[in-house]
Amino acid sequence: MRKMKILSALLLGLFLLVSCQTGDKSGDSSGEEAKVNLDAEEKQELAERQEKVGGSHSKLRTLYKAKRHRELLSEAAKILSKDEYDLRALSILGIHHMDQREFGAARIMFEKALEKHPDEPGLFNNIGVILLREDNLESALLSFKKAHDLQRNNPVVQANLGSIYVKYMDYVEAEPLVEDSYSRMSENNIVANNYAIVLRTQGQYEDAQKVYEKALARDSRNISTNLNYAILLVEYMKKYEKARQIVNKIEFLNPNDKYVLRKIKDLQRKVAAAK
Amino acid sequence: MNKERGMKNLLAGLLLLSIVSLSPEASAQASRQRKQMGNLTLRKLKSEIPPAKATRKKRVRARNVGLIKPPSSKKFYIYDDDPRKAEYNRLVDEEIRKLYKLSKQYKRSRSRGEIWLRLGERYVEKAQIIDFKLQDAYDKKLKAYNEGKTKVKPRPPSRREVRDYHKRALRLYEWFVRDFPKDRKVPQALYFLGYNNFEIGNLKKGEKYYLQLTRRFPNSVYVSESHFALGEYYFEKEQWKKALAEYMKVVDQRRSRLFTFALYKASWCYYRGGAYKTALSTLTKVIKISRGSRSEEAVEGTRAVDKMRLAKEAVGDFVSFYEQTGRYKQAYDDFYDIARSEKRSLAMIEQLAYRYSYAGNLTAAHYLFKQLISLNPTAPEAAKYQYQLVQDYNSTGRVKAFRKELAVWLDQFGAGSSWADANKGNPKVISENFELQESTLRNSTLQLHQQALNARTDYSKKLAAGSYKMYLTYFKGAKNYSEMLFFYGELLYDLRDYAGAAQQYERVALTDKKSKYFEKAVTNNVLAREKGIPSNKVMEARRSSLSNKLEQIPLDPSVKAFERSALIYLKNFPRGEKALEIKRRLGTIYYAHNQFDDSQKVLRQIIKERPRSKDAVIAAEIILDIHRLRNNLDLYQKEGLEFLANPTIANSPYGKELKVNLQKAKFLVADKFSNSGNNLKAAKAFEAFAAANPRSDQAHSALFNAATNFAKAGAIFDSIRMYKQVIAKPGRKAILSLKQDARNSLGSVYKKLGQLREAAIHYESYGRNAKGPKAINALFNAAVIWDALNEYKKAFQVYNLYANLDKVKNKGVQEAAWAKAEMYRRQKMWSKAIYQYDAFIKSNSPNLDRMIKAHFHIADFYSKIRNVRKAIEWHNKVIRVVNNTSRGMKLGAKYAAQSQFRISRELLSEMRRTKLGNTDASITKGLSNMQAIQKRLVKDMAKVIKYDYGPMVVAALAADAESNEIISQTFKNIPVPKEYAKGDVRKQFLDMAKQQANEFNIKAIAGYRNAFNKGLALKAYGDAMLDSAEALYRLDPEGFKNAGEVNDVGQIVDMMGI
Repeated sequence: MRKMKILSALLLGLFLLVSCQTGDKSGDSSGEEAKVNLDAEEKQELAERQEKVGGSHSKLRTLYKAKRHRELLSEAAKILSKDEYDLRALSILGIHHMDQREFGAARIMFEKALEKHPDEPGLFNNIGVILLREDNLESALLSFKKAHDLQRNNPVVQANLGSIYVKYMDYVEAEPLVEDSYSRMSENNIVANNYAIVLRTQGQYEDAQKVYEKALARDSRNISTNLNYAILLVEYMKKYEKARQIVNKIEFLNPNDKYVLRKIKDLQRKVAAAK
Repeated sequence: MNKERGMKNLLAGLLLLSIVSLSPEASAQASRQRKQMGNLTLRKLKSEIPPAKATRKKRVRARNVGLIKPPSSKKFYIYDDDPRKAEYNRLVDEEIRKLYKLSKQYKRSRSRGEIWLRLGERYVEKAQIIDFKLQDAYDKKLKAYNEGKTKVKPRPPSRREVRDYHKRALRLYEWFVRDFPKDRKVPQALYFLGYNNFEIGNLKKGEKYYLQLTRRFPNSVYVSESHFALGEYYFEKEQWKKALAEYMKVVDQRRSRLFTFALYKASWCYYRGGAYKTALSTLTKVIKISRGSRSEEAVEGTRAVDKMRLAKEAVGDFVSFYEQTGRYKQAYDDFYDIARSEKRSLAMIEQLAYRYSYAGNLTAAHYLFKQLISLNPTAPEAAKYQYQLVQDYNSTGRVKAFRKELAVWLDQFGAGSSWADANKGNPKVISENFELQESTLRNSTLQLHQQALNARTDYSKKLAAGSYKMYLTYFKGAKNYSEMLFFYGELLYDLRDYAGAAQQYERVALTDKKSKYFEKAVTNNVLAREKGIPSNKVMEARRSSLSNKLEQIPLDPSVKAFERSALIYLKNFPRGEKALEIKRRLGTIYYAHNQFDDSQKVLRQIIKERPRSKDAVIAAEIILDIHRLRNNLDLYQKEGLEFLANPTIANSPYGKELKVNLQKAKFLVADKFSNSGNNLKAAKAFEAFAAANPRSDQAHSALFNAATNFAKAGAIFDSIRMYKQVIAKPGRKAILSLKQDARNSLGSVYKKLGQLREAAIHYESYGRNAKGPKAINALFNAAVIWDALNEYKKAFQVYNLYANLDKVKNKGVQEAAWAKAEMYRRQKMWSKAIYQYDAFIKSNSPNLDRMIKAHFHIADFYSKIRNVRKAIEWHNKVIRVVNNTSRGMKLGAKYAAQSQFRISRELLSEMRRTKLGNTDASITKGLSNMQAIQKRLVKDMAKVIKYDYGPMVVAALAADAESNEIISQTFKNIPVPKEYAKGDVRKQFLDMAKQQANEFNIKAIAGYRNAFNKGLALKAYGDAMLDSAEALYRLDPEGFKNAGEVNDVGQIVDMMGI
């Protein structure tokens, strides 16, 4: 319970921080204004006008998937003209901006959506993703935790939160999250990779091997998966021949990460020594 | 004969009485004037014809007696109504007729001389009767003229007939002197020759006869008469010395008939010559002698002097003479000594008081009048005495004394005073006094008012106001009362006491319609009352304090008073010059007090009566505004159209105004929709207005309002369409700000629609072209959006623009520097980020959190660009900033912990750099040095841990482990000293080194494990945990089975149902 309170306080701090960074200043100071009080006739007419404007979520999805950015923005505007806090429209716009690496713009969208949808875990998740990309681990962790609190069985949130625990070898925390997420997102290599690592820590090398192989069957060029699989084979399963193939493949993929390169050399040395 | 003589004496006495009745005693003033002329009261004396003497008969030439024939006496009768005087006149005429007959009968007789003398005497007598009559008639006419009974100023009467009788007498006396030169009555004849010549104006000739008499007959009783006559002659010519000499010659003759009279005249000569004391003593002598019983000689042909009368005259003159002595304080005693009666003495005191009053000696006059009043305060005259004092002080401008005496007069002699009570039986006296008091105070008050107007000082105005108050207190109901009320009002108005002024005006207006000041009073009442009406500003404040802005505000007493004054005016002068203006004012006042029905009622009258007037325009505007305020725009338009239906109104300037007003009404209809929340209707109405009135000044406003109302209603694209029309529509400079506002609104709308690029463009456009806080905010918004869209160049430019504009507490510079630094940080442009963070720090921002972060980022980025010295310098700054305040500790402990760690971590590098050399001593020294550094490291890391920031606690523990690992490595790779290069010693040395290496390695493994476990326990995820794990796997792969897999952290985006 106390932990929850601390978490809430930290989240409040996070949102204050986020708001400051966005820094919108209202230019409208029209003062006291009458509330909108449309009569039936007006409502009818407004509905007709909005109908005429158009805009649909399905079309929005289509446009996003088709990467028709300009049309996507236009369609989102149509939806937002009817409800400026429309969750789907704002989320798609946020994700679109994330795709464009316009993280600031993405955050504007997610934060606006949060104003009216504060219980939407996806928004917190996505903000966590952005924060991680900005190297703000602490805030990202808080955001993911908030998302997880809102929806404990959200596989994406579980995967992201679990991935952090895996990275920092906190397998007690990671295991249930990763396992759960893998059960529903087994096709996601990131999720699979984390799950395999967790399996390895539990000594379930065979299961881990299956997970890696399944993942590599979907994406054989994934360096992280290949490297982790190679580590499993060399360090834990002592299957040097298979490991040699994997390490060679990694080398062929020409990674530029220093840690990966260092690890390849280490593995190669061990495979060679095993001969 | 005796009876006849008695009758004559009686008539002469009556004649004298009639003259006396016009004498100066009648009034002191008249007396004064008269006395100053030096006129005498001496009247012609009656003479007797001396008895005829028996003389030798001789041939005498008969005289032409026709020359001395008397004129018809009939005409004298018409002048005289008094039967006794008429009788006397008839007797004189009868005697003349008889004597004339005798003169004809005895024209050659010796007795003719006696007849001539007697006839001459009667002619003189007749001349005097006519003279008296003429003078009497003249005096009566003059009196009537002076009293205003006739407008024709009477001319002095012709004395032709009088002179005719004197001339006849002269012939008779000349004949006598010529025919009887040695007769004993020649002196008598010479005397009358002198007298008659004087009477007809032959002064020189008369003087010659008098001188002849005095020289030829010095012992004659007529000598004294002649001296006296000469004295009179010189007296008339104001030759006082000569006159005095002649009078004194008479005085020398103690038994002379004219002794007392001459003495009296002598006293006057002294007086006129300036010898006042001598004059007074001489006059005293006259009084005393006149009262004595001393007999005087009788002179034939003359009448005995009336000594009592003379004494009376002298007593009267005594006051005049006494005035010059200045002994007014002793006057009562002195006068009593002379007058021998209190009544007479008081009369003389009164006379003296008035004389002093007229002469301007107010001290003496004041003393005497007060003395008179105190002797008999309830006497009818007492009020007059006080009045005289008041007048004196008033005429001499002695204001204070005047006011004091005036108050005394009003209090002691006014209505209700004991004086009034004592004299209530004499209403005439009371009313005269009242009128006198009223006129005096009124005139004085008006005079003070005039002076106040001239002087324009508050003092003079207040003085006048005080006087008015006194008047209005004492003379309620006086016929001039309302006039005085009016002028009092005028004065108070001038004194800016408008309420007081209005009170006076209103009393006139309500009580005296017939007053000539009635209209002015009614008008000025309105003007004065208007001054008390609250200003528009006050009324605005009152209305704004109302919860219901249209709630009726009760009229203040001052406003009610104005309303009353206005209604009085309108009732009395419904078509008056100011009636329209007053109605308009009344209407606007009701309007200001939210009393709309009354306001419209009055204002409609104006429009009906004077449709072409400016007031009608104002009235129409207010009427329509009331409809607007009541949100009754239907009535607004209906009544507006009714106004226009009247061709007179439609063609007037008012009509044009009305057309515009109706146009405004359409606008207001839309406004009404907007205020009631019917924004879609409002938007459509505004759009329709703009379309219908494209050239109207309000077209732009209408478009803008349409846009905002569409936006509120939710028709966003219509809103954008309208805003764009506002921007695109050409117009005057005045609507430029509207265009800018439209840009700002578009920025806001696009942002709502998620079209951030469009939003940034419009915000930036507005911010660049408009001024004021809104524009500055718009620039900031534009910069943030550009930044968010990774449009760093644009963001940078707009941030710079914003920095220059928002100068409130240097806020622009601070915000812009921070935003730019963050922008560079995200782009990993470390040097530029350092520059902007530094700019932020130099801007003295009060935001401590950002200040700490800025310091830390600079230190961190210097590390990244491998400027260790600078990095250390800034890490130290971070620690100072954080440690400086408790708030700093609260906000920045984690940064201080990191900085402290970075600084302390340098010790590990120092350990690594330690050179051992190859001698026993150098190696021992090097190892000691490393140990010392490790001790310092432990101490420094304790500082890090003290900040209690999880990741840095882990890092600190890991650093400790690392130091042991370094020492372990040192022992592993330790060079063998020269001294132990050979034999067993070498082996012994290496074994010992190996043992040390193992020990430190075990310590390092334990330290790393401790650090890693601490990280897990604290959930203090970070690089230190990873580094510890890697070290553990490296140093103890069997003990720590984490081979270092890699994973992608937190990269999965929630597609949220897409």
